[in-house]
Amino acid sequence: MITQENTGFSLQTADIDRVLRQLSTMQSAAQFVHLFSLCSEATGGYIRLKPEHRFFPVLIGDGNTVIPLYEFVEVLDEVLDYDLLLKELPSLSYSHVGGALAFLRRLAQTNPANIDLDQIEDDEMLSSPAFLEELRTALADKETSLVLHRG
Amino acid sequence: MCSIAANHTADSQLTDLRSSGDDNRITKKLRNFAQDSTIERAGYLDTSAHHLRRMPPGLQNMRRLRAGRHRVFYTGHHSECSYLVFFIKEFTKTGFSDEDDRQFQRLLASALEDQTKKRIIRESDEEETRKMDA
Repeated sequence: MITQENTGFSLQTADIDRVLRQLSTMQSAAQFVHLFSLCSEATGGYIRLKPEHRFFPVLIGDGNTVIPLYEFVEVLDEVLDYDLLLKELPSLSYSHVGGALAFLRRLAQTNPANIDLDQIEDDEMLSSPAFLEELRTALADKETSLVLHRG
Repeated sequence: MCSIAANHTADSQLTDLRSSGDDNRITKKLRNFAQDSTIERAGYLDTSAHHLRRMPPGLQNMRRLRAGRHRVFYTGHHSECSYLVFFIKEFTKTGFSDEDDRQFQRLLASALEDQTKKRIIRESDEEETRKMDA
């Protein structure tokens, strides 16, 4: 415990712990922004980190269109020909490619405030009774209509 | 190599995606992911990344795969060597304005809204003083 004579000021160990934790969080956030900022500078500054986007890495297109980097990776996943990629890297499988893209997407969602956009998306889904009902109805549909692969 | 099928609902949703060619891309991915699983070995479709937490009863065993901007919901496990796709939440492509998707801004807004509910770790000096005076 820290006390200062005649002022009534005192600081408990728990308070110091709290301040240290806060400083540690702030340091991690600053290190993250610094690292991403260095990467951005080294690659032409196309990836932007702005406070109004909570420092999520984004691309700014024509007309100030904001494209979050994780969405860019999602589109990459949509258009990427896995077969062509696997031709170049034959030791890998579809699962490797899917896993690598999911990793890059997750990395692109990194932000200093640790905002979990996926969790927010899931929470939105959970808070929509209409959508949950739609899922339940779909799940109850046992009629197999399309066999994608036979084991 | 495990099997994978789509029910009538998912099949209709895949049909809706035919014009963009996304139906083929999604089915090809699902086919190959299932092919990577065997009854002895878990594959990509079994990874915990696809589990959904806090789902209500009746939906707890479902999983969700991100196929680009589309979301594919399925059940099954490599130990059964069979998967069933039962729902696809399509990302609707409208053409020119696709990029101007407001999803990110909306999710950010939700995050900001959520922040207001966070625990106050330290009050401002003014607030601390006010409380001490009270």
